[in-house]
Amino acid sequence: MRNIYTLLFLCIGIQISNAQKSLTTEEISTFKSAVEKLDSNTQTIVSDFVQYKHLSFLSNDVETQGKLAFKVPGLVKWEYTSPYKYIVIFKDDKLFIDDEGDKSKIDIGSNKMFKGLNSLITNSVKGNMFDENAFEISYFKVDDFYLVKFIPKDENMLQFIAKFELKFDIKTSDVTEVKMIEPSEDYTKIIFKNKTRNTTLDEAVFNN
Amino acid sequence: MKRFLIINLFILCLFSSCAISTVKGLSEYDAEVTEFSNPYFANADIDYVYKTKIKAYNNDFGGILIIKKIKENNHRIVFTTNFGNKIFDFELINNEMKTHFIMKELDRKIIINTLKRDFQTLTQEHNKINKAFSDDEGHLIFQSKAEKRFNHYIVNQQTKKLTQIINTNHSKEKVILSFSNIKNSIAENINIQHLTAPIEINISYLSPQE
Repeated sequence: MRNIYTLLFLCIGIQISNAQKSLTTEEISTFKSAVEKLDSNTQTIVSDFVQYKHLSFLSNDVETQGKLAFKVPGLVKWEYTSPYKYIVIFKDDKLFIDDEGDKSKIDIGSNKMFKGLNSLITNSVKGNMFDENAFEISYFKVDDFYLVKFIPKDENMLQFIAKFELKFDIKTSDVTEVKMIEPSEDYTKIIFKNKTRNTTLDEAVFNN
Repeated sequence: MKRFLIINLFILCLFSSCAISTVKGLSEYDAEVTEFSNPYFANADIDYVYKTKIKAYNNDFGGILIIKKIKENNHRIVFTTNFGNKIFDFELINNEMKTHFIMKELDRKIIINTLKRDFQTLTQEHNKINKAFSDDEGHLIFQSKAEKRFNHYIVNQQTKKLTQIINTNHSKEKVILSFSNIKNSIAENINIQHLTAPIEINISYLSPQE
């Protein structure tokens, strides 16, 4: 009986390794160039998103939805629209928050955690975060997307994020999903929908 | 004479220490029940998810508070930012609290103890009644011992709903938890007000998405 289970686990193991195929050095290089080219040609990004917070002990993931806007060099606006309204704008090293009318401002220039979070969020939206100094990076192909795993090297960051996973559409090289996995294996997953690049975006969108 | 004064002073202290403003002047009665059951976080099938605003010492924090009853006398309490990053992750088992995670910046004994007391007061389901009182405004007040303090459960006699929990020491009110918009044993709005420190927590229930 035990042998049957061993065989079963082996089969599942093989299945998983088949589903997730590592990219060759050449494939990585082609893929990275495509992402970098897309990024360098990008002035603006607008997208809808759905965020799922997964906690092992919950019956259902906590689901929130909203809109995202990005403009070069580093203006980012996250607007949660459902089930509540909450806006965060990253601008000039500051974090502007509108929590259902309660407005506040955080200077992230002095806060390492927020600074790290800001650049991660910006880079993960763009997809271009292949910083070998900051992450141990591995590349896979799964079905019709590329999966890139980033393990932070920074000890402080490792405390709350064990791993990032970004999914890219094979055809467009654009990020479709971001997953932040905690050391406990609980995670936050953000899926982008209706993502468009280089539409006209007024600076006033980023005013709080 | 000196001994007499000391004894008098002692008696005075003893009496004044019992005179918590919550129940001062109220008539005590014999409650037929021995336990007060807090219904608000008592259903293990519900994920209690609340949008949260915390004001503490001139700082504002926003986020999501998630409370889940795992089993009897066991609740998990997680607070995350709106982006989903955990700020803290506690588990209350009987009267003990296990810290699964807390942000480095908040990892201080005084903060953890304050949070423990607040969440214990909020979630503790079975509470042994010490004394029972009634007031002129249609409330029953059940006093229950909570370690070195007391919790007073204020129940509206007409609606039978728990509207407040007032946490006190022997002489002073310390924390007031107020429940409003109560639907199907879920308090949709909860305000936690500290009276001896500038801390206020407001939480509003997020109904599950269809």
